Amino acid sequence: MINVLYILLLTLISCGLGKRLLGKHVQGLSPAEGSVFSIGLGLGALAFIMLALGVAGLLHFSLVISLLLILCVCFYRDIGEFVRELISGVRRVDHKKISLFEKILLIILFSAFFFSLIGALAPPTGNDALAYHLQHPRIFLENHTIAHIPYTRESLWPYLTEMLFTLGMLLRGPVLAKLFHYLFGLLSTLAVFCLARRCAGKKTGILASVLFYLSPGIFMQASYAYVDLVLCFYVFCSVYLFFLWAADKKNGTLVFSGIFMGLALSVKVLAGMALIPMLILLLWELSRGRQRSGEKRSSFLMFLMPAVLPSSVWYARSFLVTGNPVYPFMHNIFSGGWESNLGADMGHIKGFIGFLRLPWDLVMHAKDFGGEQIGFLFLSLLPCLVFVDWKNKINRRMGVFILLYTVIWFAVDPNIRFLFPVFPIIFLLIACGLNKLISRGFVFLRAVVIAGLLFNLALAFYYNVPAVKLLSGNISEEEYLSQNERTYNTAEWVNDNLGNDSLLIVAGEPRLLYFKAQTLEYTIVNRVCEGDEGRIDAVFRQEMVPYKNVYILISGYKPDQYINNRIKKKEPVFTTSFTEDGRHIHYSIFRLK
Amino acid sequence: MRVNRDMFIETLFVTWFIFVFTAYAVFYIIPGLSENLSKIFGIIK
Repeated sequence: MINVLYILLLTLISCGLGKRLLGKHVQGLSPAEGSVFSIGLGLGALAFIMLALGVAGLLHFSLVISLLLILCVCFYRDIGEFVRELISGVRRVDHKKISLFEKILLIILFSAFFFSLIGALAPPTGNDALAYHLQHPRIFLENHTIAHIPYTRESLWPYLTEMLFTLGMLLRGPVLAKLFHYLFGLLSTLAVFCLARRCAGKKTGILASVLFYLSPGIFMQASYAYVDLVLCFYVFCSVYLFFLWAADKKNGTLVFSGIFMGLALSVKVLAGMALIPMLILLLWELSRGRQRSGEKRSSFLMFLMPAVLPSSVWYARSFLVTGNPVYPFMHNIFSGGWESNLGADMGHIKGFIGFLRLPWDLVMHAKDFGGEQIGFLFLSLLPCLVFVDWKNKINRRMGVFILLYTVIWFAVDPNIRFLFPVFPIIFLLIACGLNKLISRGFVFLRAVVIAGLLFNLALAFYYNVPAVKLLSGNISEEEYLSQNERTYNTAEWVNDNLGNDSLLIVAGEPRLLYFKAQTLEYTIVNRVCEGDEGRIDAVFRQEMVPYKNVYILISGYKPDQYINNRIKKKEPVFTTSFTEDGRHIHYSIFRLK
Repeated sequence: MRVNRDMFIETLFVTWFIFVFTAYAVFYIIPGLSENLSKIFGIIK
């Protein structure tokens, strides 16, 4: 419960900070739109503040708390204004004007929010969350500084979300970090509602937001410490403001569209997949405008500069340390990095036919696209796009953005998580068409839509059953983690038996959050040393020096010659075997020194 | 005429909806059930 209070307070501070940044630069926004953009901007600003503190080596609890209090004092008027707007907005809602259908939709939506919240309040699980989204903030906090972590693949990636995770872990712990991601899920849903309401009215707004959040990929991700909903939110805000600019042609709107794209580029390198269609749309708009060429150039730069400048901090950092701004990718162009088969094993069928089949394959072969789902409602309601008013310019622009983004996504890495940035727009357009049909009095269609949403809601509940058991006190945190996180029992043994003077070399298991001992990833050392045993040995000798005891954990990794030589004739000090998702998993720990 | 056309569209939609859900059950839910319940819903790995 304290975590929820913390996230509410941080949301208020972000809103105050964001309101001040947004000022009156973007005109004609509703209070809800203003709040969504302000909170998003404020959270982005908080992340950059954390980066600045971290780079300066000032990641201390007392300092961060003091800073948050100062922000509270500085922006108390903006925070107060937001709270007043929120209260008056809730009071303005006329229950009599909400139809039964809309009430059912809202109940489904808030139930899904609730189930995701339950999941978000449980201790963290999930591969990437434990491998680096939370593991690296933990290391940053241990060292009170944000810097490159040697022999890691990700620590120099754009880490805007991880800065918020660092803040959450510093103030309270990993659960507060998870709540940041959950918050972005809520903000994205609210943003979908706002744009849909602006384009096609309140009913479409409710439909679009429910369809978006009830997509299994979205509500499942909301309870994990991942970054994809943050990317989804910032890209959508950028697109949203771009559409507003296309209508009002006010420079401030375009600048903030660029700023949000910059925040997206600070979350993930793959935000570049959204930047390209945005630039194409911008050039198209400018080419059709009646401005002089100088004004067109300055408009272009008004979007591009705020998009590129703030986000370049992350890429410049990576370039300065490794010589590669997108380390370890593109190693052929830049000096550092290694061969990575990004997206090679993703997708069901490659090529043009595969692209045409996407709507079907995304639903029926979701495992081939990374496991998360867009949901069967997407495919069953896709024909609603026929009924969208394509004469409307905004709808046409949305369609073009979806098409361009999807083509790039399909070519680069067709992992469904990386398609999240277009989910809001897809479901918004579907909701536009669906609302047209429903308003004609299609009773059976309403019934099947509600049935489909209830099915997805049941998934949201089912998926969070272990978290419900935990929060209701039926199982302990240890039991929850033992049942839901494969590394937990091994990590417990390590934590009980290895002291501060021990180094654990890990081969084949990236999930390191629950290991308290110092760790070193063998697979990364091997990659950096290009498999050269002499170089690997030199690295190990150097890394082992400060430690009295050195162990190696082998899991899911076929020991190579180097490891075999090190563990030859040695008996493991710990072994465990179990089955996960039909795969046999075995952990062995050997003492090397 | 409008009523008939609307009824046709609605019938088409509901039929498509049921077809998709059935296909989803056949291709995704039932094979998943035989493996592991948690896999059906796409666990993040």
